[in-house]
Amino acid sequence: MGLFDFLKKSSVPASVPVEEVPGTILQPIEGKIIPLADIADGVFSEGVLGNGCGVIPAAEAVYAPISGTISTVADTKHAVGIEGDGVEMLIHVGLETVSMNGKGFDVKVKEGDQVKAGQLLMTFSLNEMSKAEGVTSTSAILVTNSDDLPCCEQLFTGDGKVGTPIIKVK
Amino acid sequence: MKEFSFAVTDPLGIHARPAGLLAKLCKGFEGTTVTVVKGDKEAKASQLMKLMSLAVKSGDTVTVKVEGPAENEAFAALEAFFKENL
Repeated sequence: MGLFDFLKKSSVPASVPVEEVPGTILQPIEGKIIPLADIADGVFSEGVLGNGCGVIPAAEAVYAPISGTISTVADTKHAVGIEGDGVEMLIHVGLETVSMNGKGFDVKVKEGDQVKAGQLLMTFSLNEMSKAEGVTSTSAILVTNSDDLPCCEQLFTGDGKVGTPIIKVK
Repeated sequence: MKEFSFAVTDPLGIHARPAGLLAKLCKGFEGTTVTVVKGDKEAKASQLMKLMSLAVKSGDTVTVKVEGPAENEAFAALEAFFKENL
């Protein structure tokens, strides 16, 4: 079991090389990018928390979608906020994951940390999510101040890797 | 300016969902500022990330301040919102 843990950990690099494009948000989680409206939770799909898109994870790691400062880390570890270059973002991992109380989540950053696009922010467990009642892995990538910006144009849907440009902000 | 204190009983406190709903509610009262105060930290209800970083939890008491042309309406709506959701 210890050996598997070791292998699992070593498969999540502390950063991935990405090409930063000004005014562009990069894919933070490997998987299938979907329109925000397709997220099965009104608080996201109706844009209550801001514009953005969804991702159905195919891997268990979240990388910074922009360079900036960590603005918030949920106590329950399932959501991270980041702001940079006038863009405020929230990455909310899974739906109803607040009820998991942090189980399976490992956040690598804290409030106030400076991060570079492509830097590892947290890991999570799809297995733990599948065991938790009412939880699905579909995650939201949100620009929480989208009302104040010329935002957002979705650049891409479908299967993508970390670092793919997904949203144009300005 | 009007204000009320509220003891949060929802075990999850002000997480993403209630924060988003609260921000949306407050946007409906144009020109009226709503501030949530917890201890020595405060956040405008329209600033979603700041609001969430207050990390309000069950057992916390927050003060909600309402100031502006629609403060009476907003005050009533907010009191109802906190009672119902938090």
